[in-house]
Amino acid sequence: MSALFATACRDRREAIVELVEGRLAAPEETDVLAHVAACAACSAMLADTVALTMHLRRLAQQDRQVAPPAGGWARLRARVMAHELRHRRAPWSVRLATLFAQGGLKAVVAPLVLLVVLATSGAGVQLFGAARPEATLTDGAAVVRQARLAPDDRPGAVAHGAAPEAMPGLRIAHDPQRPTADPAAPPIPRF
Amino acid sequence: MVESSTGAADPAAWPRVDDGAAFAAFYARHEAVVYRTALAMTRDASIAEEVVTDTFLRAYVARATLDPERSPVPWLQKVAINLCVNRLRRRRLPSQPLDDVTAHAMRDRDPSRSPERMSEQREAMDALLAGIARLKPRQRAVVVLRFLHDYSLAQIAETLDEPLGTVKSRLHSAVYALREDLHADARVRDLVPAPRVGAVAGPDAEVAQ
Repeated sequence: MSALFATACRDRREAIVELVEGRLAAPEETDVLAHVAACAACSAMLADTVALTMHLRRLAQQDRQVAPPAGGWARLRARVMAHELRHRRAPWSVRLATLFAQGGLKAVVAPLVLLVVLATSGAGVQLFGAARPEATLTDGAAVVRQARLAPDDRPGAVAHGAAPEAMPGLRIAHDPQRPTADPAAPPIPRF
Repeated sequence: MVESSTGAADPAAWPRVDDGAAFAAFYARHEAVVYRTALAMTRDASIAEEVVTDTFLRAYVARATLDPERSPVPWLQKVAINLCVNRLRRRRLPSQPLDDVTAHAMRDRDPSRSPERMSEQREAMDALLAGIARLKPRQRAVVVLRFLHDYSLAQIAETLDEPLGTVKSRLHSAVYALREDLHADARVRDLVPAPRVGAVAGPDAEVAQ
């Protein structure tokens, strides 16, 4: 019997905050009010909850007057930039792992195999040597053509991501603005 | 009630992923509601600032994967509350009596009140804040969403991603704990009705009867 009583009190008490704030549906409100009228403990709980919610409302009203301090956007922007630098310019190990995970295995392995084959056969020396205009090319049109293919002659600009079978010897210029770590990542917005 | 805190007013407010200006506007629009939540949870302005920055950084990172048709506010609130809960659990934040900002707000709001009345109210708020600081972080989250943002139980359950019954129970136990704290605090005993003679001691005390 006492267990039934306890359950009845507990269920009603959980609804007391809702009752105080007028958020109970009519049948439940009637039920809780009837119980509170007959139960001294729940009646005391109701009186306390009325006082307490009043204080909590007053505190909440004060909290709503508080404005965030200035400089929040500048801090966030700096964090966003740091995030982009950290995650879009990941080390080679991470870039390779990302490519493997996304099924881009061929794009990584094929150029490596080609490089190894070319290097061991000696053809690579001729091919890459010929890519330097001052080395062997004397024809002006050929120089222009090569310059179009490889406007950036830095050592780090050697092909990655291109299909070497389709374009042997093609050197893709390195674009520092181009994201490399995660091709599926959303674009970087301009702030 | 804060307009944007219920999440009903702006159902499609996630910024486009490639639009930096829209993200800045998104931040400006929702910064205050997230800051107030974080401040109410931690009662520490510098931690609240950190939480706001972390919350929006997560929004930035996740922006491409979130449903643009849904309001971002519950998502932001959930992330902010989880960050606050983690910080509260990691180190026990001191219960500050009443921060200066809130105290100024009290004075500014009601300059006609007598110094005695103001002092009484301040003590009541001190006791209440100390009681809130002693709540478990998840209980505190329910109280903040309920009283600061006026969320219904269903909205709290959705925001915290918890069953309605759990939220109901947490709200009740938080109110009960605060009630006990206020009764135990000599400064505010007069501001809260004392328990009646014969009243049971706890929410489950009837079982012992």
